[in-house]
Amino acid sequence: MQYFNYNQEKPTSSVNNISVLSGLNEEEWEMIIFNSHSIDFLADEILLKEGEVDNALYILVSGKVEVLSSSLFGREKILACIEEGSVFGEISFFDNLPRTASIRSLTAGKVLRISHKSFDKIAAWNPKIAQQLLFDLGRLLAYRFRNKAIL
Amino acid sequence: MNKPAFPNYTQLPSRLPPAIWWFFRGIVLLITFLQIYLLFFKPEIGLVLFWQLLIPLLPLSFAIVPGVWRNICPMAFLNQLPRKFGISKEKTLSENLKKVALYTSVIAFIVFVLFRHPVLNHSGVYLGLVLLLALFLALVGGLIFKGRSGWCGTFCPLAPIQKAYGHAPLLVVKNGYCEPCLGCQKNCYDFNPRAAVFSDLNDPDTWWSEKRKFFIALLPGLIIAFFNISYSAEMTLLQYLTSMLMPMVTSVGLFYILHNLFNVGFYKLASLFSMAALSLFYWYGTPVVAKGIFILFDISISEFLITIFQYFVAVVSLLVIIRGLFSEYQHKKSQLNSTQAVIGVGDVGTLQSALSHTQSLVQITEESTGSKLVLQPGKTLLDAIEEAELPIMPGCRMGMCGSDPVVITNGMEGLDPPGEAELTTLRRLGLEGKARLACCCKPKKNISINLKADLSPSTGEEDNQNHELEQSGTLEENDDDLFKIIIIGNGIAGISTAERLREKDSECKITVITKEAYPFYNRMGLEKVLYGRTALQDLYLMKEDWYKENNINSWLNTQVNRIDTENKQIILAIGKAVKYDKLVLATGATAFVPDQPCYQLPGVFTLRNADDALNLRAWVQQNSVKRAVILGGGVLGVEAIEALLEIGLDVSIVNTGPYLMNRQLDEISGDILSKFLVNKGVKVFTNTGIKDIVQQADIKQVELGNGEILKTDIVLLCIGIRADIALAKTAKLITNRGVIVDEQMRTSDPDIFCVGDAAELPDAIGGLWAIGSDQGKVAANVLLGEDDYYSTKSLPTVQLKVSGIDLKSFGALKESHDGYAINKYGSFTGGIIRWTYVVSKKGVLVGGVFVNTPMVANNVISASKEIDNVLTSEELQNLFLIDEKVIKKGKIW
Repeated sequence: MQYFNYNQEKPTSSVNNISVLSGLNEEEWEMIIFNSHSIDFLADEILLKEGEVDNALYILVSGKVEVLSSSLFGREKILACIEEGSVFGEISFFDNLPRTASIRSLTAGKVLRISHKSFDKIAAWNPKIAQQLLFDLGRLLAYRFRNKAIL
Repeated sequence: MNKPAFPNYTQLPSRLPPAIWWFFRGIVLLITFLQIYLLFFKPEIGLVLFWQLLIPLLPLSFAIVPGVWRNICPMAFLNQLPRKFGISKEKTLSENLKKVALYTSVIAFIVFVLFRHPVLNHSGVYLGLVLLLALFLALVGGLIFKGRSGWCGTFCPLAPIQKAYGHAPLLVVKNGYCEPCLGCQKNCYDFNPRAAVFSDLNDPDTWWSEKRKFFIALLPGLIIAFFNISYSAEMTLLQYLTSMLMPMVTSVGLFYILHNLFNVGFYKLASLFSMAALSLFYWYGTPVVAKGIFILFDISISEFLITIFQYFVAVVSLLVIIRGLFSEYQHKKSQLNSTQAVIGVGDVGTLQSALSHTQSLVQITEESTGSKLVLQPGKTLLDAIEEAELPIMPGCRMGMCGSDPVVITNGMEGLDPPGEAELTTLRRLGLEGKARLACCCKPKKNISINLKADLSPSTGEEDNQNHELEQSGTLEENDDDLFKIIIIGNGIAGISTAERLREKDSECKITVITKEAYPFYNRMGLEKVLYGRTALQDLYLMKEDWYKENNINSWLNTQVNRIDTENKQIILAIGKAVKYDKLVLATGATAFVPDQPCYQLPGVFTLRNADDALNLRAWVQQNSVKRAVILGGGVLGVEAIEALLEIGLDVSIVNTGPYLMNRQLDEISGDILSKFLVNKGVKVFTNTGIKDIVQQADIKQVELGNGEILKTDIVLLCIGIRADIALAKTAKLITNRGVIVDEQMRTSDPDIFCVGDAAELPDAIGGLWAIGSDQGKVAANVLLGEDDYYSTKSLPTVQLKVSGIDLKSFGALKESHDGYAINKYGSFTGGIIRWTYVVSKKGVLVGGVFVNTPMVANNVISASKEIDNVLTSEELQNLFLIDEKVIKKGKIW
């Protein structure tokens, strides 16, 4: 769990995280890469901006980023720190509404940007992967919804 | 910086300097040994002191500031001494031992309490021995295991009760032992005091979480039993234990009933039960303590004070519960925020390695947005810009239309020089040396571009309204001495003619007349008008003042009724006659619409010119169209699909041929295209045509040749184009399907030329930009007196403009004739299908199809352009070698 990250560096396996696209082989990833777009970033760049309209999904290939949200009186609040392998941007990916939080890079790294167009292409070449991605993200949203309902 | 809801030990303030803590630890250890001494040698004082004064201090301190006891506990002190002196073996407690430890500590605590009545309450010796044993074990634990894992967080019988009462501390005190943390135990209370309870109760290992719950569940029962049941000599031990067990079982039962029947969450139950236990403990215990104080110090405490204290504890319990509820809220909130999708650790490796394989190092920096794009091998700058969803207007993708000029701000010199088509286009746009066309540009080194740099052929808003009626020149014929050339039509053929004329002759009077209401625009971008936001603005391919700058008269929205060859003049629909010395017909072609009445129904469209696109878009919006049927599976039909999908329609496509684009593709590539489109949600019907369209209420029913019926709202006809020869007929020119011309583009009238789609010349395929452009230049040269002949310089190339599939075709795909050799190559990796099919005759390339093999396509097509290039079979093979994927992973089909 995230509160017992004893060595402060590497996160312990987060049981809360929902794994997506697990078990794809290199060629399947190549297909995704071929149909999407990778972006290199440096430390301290804003990758996503809260309130911006953009519905792409991102996979953090390498590097570390943090999730920021502006709280009352415009002060920014760090919600989480995201490690490589994380997927972000899923809310706007589904509802096409403005971004709910900003993403700022802590280190240099690389993201894979899957726009709706990319997704359509991926789906057209390999519907199974697209289906898998949607179900995985659906599980994440269901998890949040279920917990929100209890909250 | 906000205070974290669940601070770990590094984020907690130090409330006291370490030296003070060590001092207190020493004092407490001394008191403990004094206590043990009293138990052995003065048990009548020792027992009262222990049970009725010292022990009752602990639970309340656990609830209010659990950190204090964790810092000064004598067992912890002894446990931590080996670490302090560096003599601990620092072994890691195995996962199994961690579980056993929890078990042992819980059982030890319960046994300890159960044996108070029979033994420990009365026997100083036994109690003293138990305490000594505990101290000894704590020390041994510290000698063997690292951190506090040998006792405090694990085997210590006091730990479970401390964690239960201290689940939501009112005050957090930083642990003073573990700097730095060794990560020795699971869900360590010292590491994160507020989060420990949540991690314990929600632990995915039920072995762990259930034991925590179970212990808390029985706690109130244990306390009730302890204070209400006494052990007497008449009872057997078994009877005593059984009667003690009953309240505990009831308590546990109640806990789970509340959870299962009333859906109370485990955290709330745990909080409620532990605080109930605390209140009960002091409710029963305060009078006992009062008695102890009386015995020890001869001070009597009034009933009133006792009651006050009992209520005080109840209030503390309530506060802890409230603090706990707040923590629970914060915890849930943080869980929601922190839960995210991840690809597994192994998968990240696979992804990184896949990325390292597929990517060259070419990086493009777009300066206006700061985006950094990575160019994949074989892809163009246009592909990269489109992929990143940056603003660009793709057109022909072959460097001819000029819709996608991009300013290279850095690295221009490192690019391959523009090819002939690109260069001509850049000259037309006046951008030679200033920009490159994204579709032709394949940088091999990093470059920077700026998409916002001011270049666009259609400039700012204020000019837009002028387009429609912008005319220049006059009808007055006061310049009789000038050589007058009239060009009818302002498509690529007409514009190329005008451009070349002006380039070669600055004197002659050039007039371009067109019935369309728009200046020269990008016909290949028409689909974008259907779903884009800018109507036609982005399609204009000329700078606003191009006509003026080049001294060319332009007549938009002007219909020519007939040509009067005798008087060498044309008659406009508005009645005027305009004289010419030479006339160039560039009237182009119109979409073919069959004569049957069903094709004249409203809602049946073509997509050939700007008005078609605007009308179709308007109709779709006004009639809330949901479905579309495209008739014709050629290039135009297939390219229309994407625009219709983009505006959210259900699309079906009907092709009379055996597969889609059967003129340009071989059967396998046709099938690949079909599969791709079907996966995009398109319904593909081949080998059949439309028999009839029936309008029923708002819905059209399209009856196919094979009997199937498709319901639709609109029908889009993409079944070819017909040369527009109506005007030529008024001049009695010789026409067939088009206007018959010679290789100098001259019609049967020596003063009239015809170029582009309207002209008919063997080998020149209609509908292609390259041909219209070339013919225009030839006509211009010839009518200025040069000796020029049109010849098909290269085999016609088609690049399918559908995103997601890279499909190129060139030449002809004759298969069955003698002497033709076919090379086929295919591979299927990870869902990407690659296919190459090349036809050659005696070493001369005559045609080919390339699906997702852009680099091979480039190689083969540029080889085919070298005239008289006869390839050996080895050279032919080498053309394929460029795309390693095809060679390495593919198999020969």
